[in-house]
Amino acid sequence: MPLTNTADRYGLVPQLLHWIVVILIGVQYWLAETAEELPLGMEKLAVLTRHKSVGITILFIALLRVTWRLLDRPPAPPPMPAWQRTASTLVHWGLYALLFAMPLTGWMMSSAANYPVSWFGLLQLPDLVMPSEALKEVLEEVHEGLFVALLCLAGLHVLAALKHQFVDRDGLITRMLPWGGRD
Amino acid sequence: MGRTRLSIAIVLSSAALAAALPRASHPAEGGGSLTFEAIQAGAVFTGRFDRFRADIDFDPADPSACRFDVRIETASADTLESQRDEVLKGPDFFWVQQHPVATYAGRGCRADGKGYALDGELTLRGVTRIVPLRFTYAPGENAAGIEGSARLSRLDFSVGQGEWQSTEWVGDAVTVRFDLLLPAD
Repeated sequence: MPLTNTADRYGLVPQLLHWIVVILIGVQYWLAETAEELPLGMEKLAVLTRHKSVGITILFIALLRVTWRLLDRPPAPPPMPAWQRTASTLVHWGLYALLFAMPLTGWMMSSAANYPVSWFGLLQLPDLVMPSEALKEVLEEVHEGLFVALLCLAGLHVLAALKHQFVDRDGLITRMLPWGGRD
Repeated sequence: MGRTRLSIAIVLSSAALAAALPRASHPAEGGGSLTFEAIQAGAVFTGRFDRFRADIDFDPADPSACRFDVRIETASADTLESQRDEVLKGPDFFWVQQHPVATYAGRGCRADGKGYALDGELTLRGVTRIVPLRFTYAPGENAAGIEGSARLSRLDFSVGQGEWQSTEWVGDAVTVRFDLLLPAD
């Protein structure tokens, strides 16, 4: 399988990055929910620290993915009505935007709480905003709101993929899978 | 290597922060700041004491006659995050109910490189130990500046009980920095 995109399929690298992000978002949700339940203590600190490190990882992968997307022409989609093309473009770029917005608001939240972010204890990141508990509260709401938006867009994305697979039967889903083909 | 440079950036940003977010008062005699840097989860964060009193006699002509008597209200510790402040003031860390004051006392400074050094006794959470500090002295017309730092182990002073004795998520080393303005006699 080629590493880069072909006429009818994403390359191995963009496929890998796509599915890694899917898994990491699941991990993020689980870590966030776990931390929510814990009182302030060592365990909460540990869980939130991992949440932040994974979030920064997602931010980095998002940067790679958008760069790849802009430099390597994506495979052509199967024929579909214009409104579906438009909707798909909007959802895709919305998802990319959230892959940046979620980690960035989380990072800002950490800065606002005066808990500077370290990436897996290897690299301390600069603070994005000055400490302020009021700002931290606002950012927390925004961060959670963006997650709801992410769930909605990801839901649409999955539903559309399933519709193409089982209703249209146009094999669109195999563009993002290393196996199966439409030839 | 990268760590040193980063921690300098943190000190600068905490100075900027202190300037950006003025508190009602800084009751240090003559004014000044007392901050501490600790490591949580691999990242340096800065906190400060808002209420302390530094009585310092220092004459650069005779450093050996110097006297430092500093009293710090442990309950004035502020890391700009209320949950963490609560834990910090609680029995596992400063235990401010039992130990409301930390003191630093020393006599007899000595010239040390470009500045001065003092081996004073820090009493914190009921434990007294010698903590060497280094500082520089900057004379001025109406006030002189004394700026310096000390590095200590929080666990030497039992700051961090129970699970907090582990240094995996909260580092043992703490750097205390002071920047004081002393009125000239």
